[in-house]
Amino acid sequence: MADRINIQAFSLQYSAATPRVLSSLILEIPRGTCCAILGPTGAGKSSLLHCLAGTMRRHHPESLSSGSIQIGDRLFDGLPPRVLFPAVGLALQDPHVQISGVRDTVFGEVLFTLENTSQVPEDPSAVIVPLLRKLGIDHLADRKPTTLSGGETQRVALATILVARPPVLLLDEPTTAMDLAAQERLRGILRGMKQTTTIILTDTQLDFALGICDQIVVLEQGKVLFDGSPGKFLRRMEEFRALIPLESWLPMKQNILRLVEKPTRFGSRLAATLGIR
Amino acid sequence: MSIELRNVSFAYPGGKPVLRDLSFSAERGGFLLVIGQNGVGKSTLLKLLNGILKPTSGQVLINGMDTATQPTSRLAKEICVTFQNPADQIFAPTIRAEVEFGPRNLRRENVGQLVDNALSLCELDALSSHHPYDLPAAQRKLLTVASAIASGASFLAFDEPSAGLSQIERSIFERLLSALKKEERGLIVVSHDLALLLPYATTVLILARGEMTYYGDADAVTQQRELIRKAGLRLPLPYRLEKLLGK
Repeated sequence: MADRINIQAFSLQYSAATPRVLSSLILEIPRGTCCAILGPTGAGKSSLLHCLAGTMRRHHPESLSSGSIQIGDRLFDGLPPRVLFPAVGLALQDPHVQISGVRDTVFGEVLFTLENTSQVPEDPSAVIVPLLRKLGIDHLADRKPTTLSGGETQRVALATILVARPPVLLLDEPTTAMDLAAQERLRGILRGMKQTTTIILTDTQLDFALGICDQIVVLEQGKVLFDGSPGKFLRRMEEFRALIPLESWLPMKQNILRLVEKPTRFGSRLAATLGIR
Repeated sequence: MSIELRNVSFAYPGGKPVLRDLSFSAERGGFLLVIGQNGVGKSTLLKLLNGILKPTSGQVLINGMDTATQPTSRLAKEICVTFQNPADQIFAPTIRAEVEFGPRNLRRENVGQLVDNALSLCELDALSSHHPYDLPAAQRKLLTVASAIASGASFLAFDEPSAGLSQIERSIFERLLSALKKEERGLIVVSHDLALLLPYATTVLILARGEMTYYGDADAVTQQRELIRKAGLRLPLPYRLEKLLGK
């Protein structure tokens, strides 16, 4: 079952000698919703995901934190002390790091997750093959995972996380190497998962998030600059043009807002495409 | 000064053909944008340009030199290719040393100047003594671009150079594209990022199932909706909406 995430006055430093990368963050992500965290390089997007996944303490044992993180009914004072997978799944920004490389096939690589989390079903194919098909990579099942193209690797890396069905799914810039058709597939998968999964994704751009996310958060230098619905974001997007590429959206903004407010079929289709209510 | 592919086909050893019968050319001062689905052979195509891979049949000519007979060290003087994953190429202990490696080994005369220019174009000059792995991923991507620029090669080929770049680095990247055009360098770029790159491209090449299905004017490509759909590609959401909203 999906978990609610509640972050209260959370701050993080990698060490006592370095500045805060996250600063007094207050965020609530309701269960079964999708939140997109947008912002430029160095805003703290990946750091936040690593905090939620419980991987921060392992990679940076000297890091300092304050405030609290609540995931479902687990309340952590500061950083979670251990990796929370499979309760929280994190797809890393660099998919090549996610691939263990200890298995000779894509199928084996995905199965490896189920073995590590003691979730191997009687017939693993019945779970893995449909997942690969949904991601559009079933034709790669017998390929060596380390010989794939960038976009293929990104989808295999995602499969290794999705197969564990984590109730909280964190995706760190999940589409950087994907073609737009693959992005559409992932968008469909995430939409279908929302009932049972709370999703947080980071991105440097707006496009992928629209239509799946219920909440947009803009981070800059570790601080929340904006937290609201996609509709509210579209209305205020000028404010963020220096941080997020919005040049192709800005000229269309007034048109979009005018159309989605009309009770026509086109208007409601457009509203659904962009996730504006 | 040009790159020319004549009826090039390529298969990895023991595998099916990845690329079939490609013929196209790229000129200095031009910008060829290569698009296609994941796994269609775009990165393979770039590796054919600098001789890391040799065509199974056909010819790749770089400024008149056949990649089948020239050593990669000679071809590197003419064309520099960046990899999609920066970790596949970054190895030096500092950013400056990383950028210097190319021009120094190619025995360029003005190494210092080439390096300074590349670091400044990529706005990495203030970080030149840092370790590359202390940079965020987006800046590491720019570092690979800086290394290519500093090589002094007349042709530069970038594999997904804007993937993961935020607005800050995208602005830097746009500025350096304009600067490279002024320097009359030839660019060949593999990317899914039409929103950023299409306005700069002069020519577009669409790859679908190993074959070239479009090779022509960049301005006309967004009209080729059927070709784009058949190649398994989609135009960025703003492009699609623009058409709908225009009605």
